[in-house]
Amino acid sequence: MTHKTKAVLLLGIPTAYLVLLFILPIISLIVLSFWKTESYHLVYEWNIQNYVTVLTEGAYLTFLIRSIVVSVIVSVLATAIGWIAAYAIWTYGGRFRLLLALAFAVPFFTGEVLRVIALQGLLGPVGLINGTLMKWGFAPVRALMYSNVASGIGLFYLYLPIAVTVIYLSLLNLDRRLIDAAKIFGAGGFRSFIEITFPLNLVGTLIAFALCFIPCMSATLSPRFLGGPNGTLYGMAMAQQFGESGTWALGAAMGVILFLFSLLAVVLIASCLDLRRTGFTGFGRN
Amino acid sequence: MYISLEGISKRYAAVTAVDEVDIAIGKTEFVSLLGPSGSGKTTLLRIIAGLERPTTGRVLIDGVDVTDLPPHKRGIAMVFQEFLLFPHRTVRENLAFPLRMQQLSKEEIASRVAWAAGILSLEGLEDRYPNQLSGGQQQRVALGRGLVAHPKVLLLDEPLANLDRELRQEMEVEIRRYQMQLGIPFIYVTHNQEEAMSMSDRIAVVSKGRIEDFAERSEVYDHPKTAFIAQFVGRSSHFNGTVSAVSSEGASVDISGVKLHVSRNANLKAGQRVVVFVKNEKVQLEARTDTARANSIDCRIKDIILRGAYAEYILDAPALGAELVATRPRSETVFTAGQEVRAFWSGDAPDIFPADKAA
Amino acid sequence: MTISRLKRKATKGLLLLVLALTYVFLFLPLVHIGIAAFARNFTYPYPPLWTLETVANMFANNLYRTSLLNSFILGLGSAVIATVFSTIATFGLLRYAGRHVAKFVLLFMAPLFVAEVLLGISSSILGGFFLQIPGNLISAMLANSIHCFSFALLIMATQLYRYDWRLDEAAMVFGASPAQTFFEVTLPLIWPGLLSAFIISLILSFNNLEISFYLLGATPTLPSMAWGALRHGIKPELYALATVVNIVVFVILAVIFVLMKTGSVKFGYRPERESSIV
Repeated sequence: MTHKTKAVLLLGIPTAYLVLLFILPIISLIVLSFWKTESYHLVYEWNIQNYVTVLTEGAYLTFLIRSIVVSVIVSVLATAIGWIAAYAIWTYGGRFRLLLALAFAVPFFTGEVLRVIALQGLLGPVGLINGTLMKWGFAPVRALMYSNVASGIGLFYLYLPIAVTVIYLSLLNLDRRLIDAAKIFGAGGFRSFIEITFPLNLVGTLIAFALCFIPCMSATLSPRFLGGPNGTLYGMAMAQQFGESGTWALGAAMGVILFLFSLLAVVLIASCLDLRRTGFTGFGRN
Repeated sequence: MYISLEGISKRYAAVTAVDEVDIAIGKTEFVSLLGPSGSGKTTLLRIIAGLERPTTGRVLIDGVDVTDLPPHKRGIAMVFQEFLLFPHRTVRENLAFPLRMQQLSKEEIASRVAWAAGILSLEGLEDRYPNQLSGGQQQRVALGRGLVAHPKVLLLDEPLANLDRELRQEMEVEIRRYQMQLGIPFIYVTHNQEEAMSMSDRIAVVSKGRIEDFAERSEVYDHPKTAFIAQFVGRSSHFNGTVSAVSSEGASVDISGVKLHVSRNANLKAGQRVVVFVKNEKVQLEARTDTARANSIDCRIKDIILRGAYAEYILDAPALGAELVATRPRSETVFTAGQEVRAFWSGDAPDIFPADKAA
Repeated sequence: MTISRLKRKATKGLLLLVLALTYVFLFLPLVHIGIAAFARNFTYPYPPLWTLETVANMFANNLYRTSLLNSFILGLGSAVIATVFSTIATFGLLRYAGRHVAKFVLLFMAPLFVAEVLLGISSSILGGFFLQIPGNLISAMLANSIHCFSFALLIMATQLYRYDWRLDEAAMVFGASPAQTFFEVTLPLIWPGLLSAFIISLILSFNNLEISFYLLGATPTLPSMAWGALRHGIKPELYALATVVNIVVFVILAVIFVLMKTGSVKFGYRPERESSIV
């Protein structure tokens, strides 16, 4: 086999796989979003009514804005705490580094439903925190019971592990001796972090942020089982169109908007980013 | 002295990387720490830099005890073997980094960066990123970053190890020139004796965490203080033997029946087992004759290796049961492989050490 | 002690404190329900009245058993699919993509940046509305494998990123056939990557709710069953289920840890470096 045939095969097969099972479904979603659903039936009639509904009806806009606010707060917090945790492991972990890093993976690999169940055990009205408070004779913290705060904590809990893992993996690829060099040339601990460590891990940081932000935007579980009656988030509302409401086309339009939103966020971040300034030197061996 | 290490040791669990080192370095000296890999020379340099804390001892720079100071407060600079340029910064920014840390004015930074780019012929490359430069260019930026800082001392950790030979020799000359220009001490770590010889005022030979000798470069080469130095510095052949007689003019050494005269006696006693080193370039060759000659051995030329202006003769000396090497200028008589010759040297050529201390 | 050493100590203390709190936050709920799963007084099991009844109930329940089996089939299937395609993609990417590498990375990583629920919904639209195929385990496998594909590729690519392909050429120069080269040189070097990609894909799709949910129709999996049960309030069996899954995941990661510790598996590229004192 020539180099070219191999290239076509090895890159073409996965590409075809992704086109069939990833791109095509997203196109279907887009197509569906321009049709109509009436009483659990599809009406094949091109229109943009779904988009008008989502973008003008107060409830959906509220969900969208609320989702954005919650997602930004949660992702910023998760990225910040993720940095501290990953940096602490990387710097002080010594020979336990691997163990400490893997410990973050346990919750990540225990599915979301089961973790939401665990969180209910922690935060619920008779959960660990409030149960203990009541046992000691204190009033339970209402903010933790079926509220936006609880739903936010849930999202933070769900996506913190991925933030830590991504930032840690990024740190692993950092040459520590560059920090030594910075110190030799007069940079103190904090200064060398700002000058060297952070910029060289900026890509990892942004990926960590994105991998928190995107699932937060579309979260269905945390707001549903931990959030309160005023805690409906966009993703949850979208999922309802496919479940209880049976308004698939509207749901599809919501999905397209969510997709565009994620895309916009990624493109925006990527366009602000000068890869050269993050020490990027190209893929693979050159 | 401008820089002193006093009783410096560094121990890791069971390993002693640096063992009771005392060194004092003058303000305008170029000093090399020469030793094989794993000898502890790099650890010593990192202790001076503040990247390692010594287990015991003190480091003084310009009269100040800096043992407890972190690297960034020591006012030093360093050139690394792997260059360690900041990959996310341009050449200009890399050069400016130490100056920004010193909070110099913009004008001062610009003029010093321009100066460094000028002397290191980096003009026109200022806005490139390190990975867009060749190895030699990266090396010059790394050197420039050390020079612009006007440090109290510049530490160089095998800075030329990743360059090819020609470039290395060019850089040796330049590095020595900058040292004289700046008038600050350079401490240069290397395992390459040629580099150490070509640049240094003094050389500290490091082995197993200890300083074997710290002396003028010619002293280290011509009068090795220990068997380790005799073996490590310069190229030489060595033989094991026994002292047969000692006199005021030197000693006679018996090497498997061959009698040699050594004019240095180094406090030897008759009957003592010794190692004798003869530097390759001190071994002379002549065609076999019947006239007797002191310190001569009949040999056969096994192989000849040409090294530019010199020829290296690999000699088989059946009487010694050993091989020895003679390096001769090619302007001398040319011998051919297989020829029977006589190797000889003057009585003061060999260096002799008690055998128990041999490396 | 100098001020700078004191400052360094304080920074270290603070960072480690945050790290410790993070672990507490992450594991407290898991430990809590772990205890609750074995306690009669499961809502607030302090002190716990130990019992194995809940766990026994769960294992006796037919629905749980069917769901477990379905989840396992689903996980296995999509792990196989994801590993096969991501292996091909890794080779293509690292060896044959040339100057197009950025474009392919973008395409192959894109599924990570699309929310799971969107993947599920889109796939169900394609399958259900356009192809008229009712949801089943196969379609759920395929949809899940897409998400796992990107993770698997990420894991393998980070491990093989610095692999020296000249080793392959060296093997061929010494007379190895392409097949021999693969089995003698390439496979021994990549199998840790393959295995970790496979295991991680398996765990991910085993536990997945949001992708599978829209594609499975009436077929229950553990997460969808748990989701259904959760709607009617917490049951102790759910705690037991979560605990069992946690333990299994924990054991698998412990095995990976041992493999990594003994040097058979590497995660991310880590050249030998002298340590910094920071």
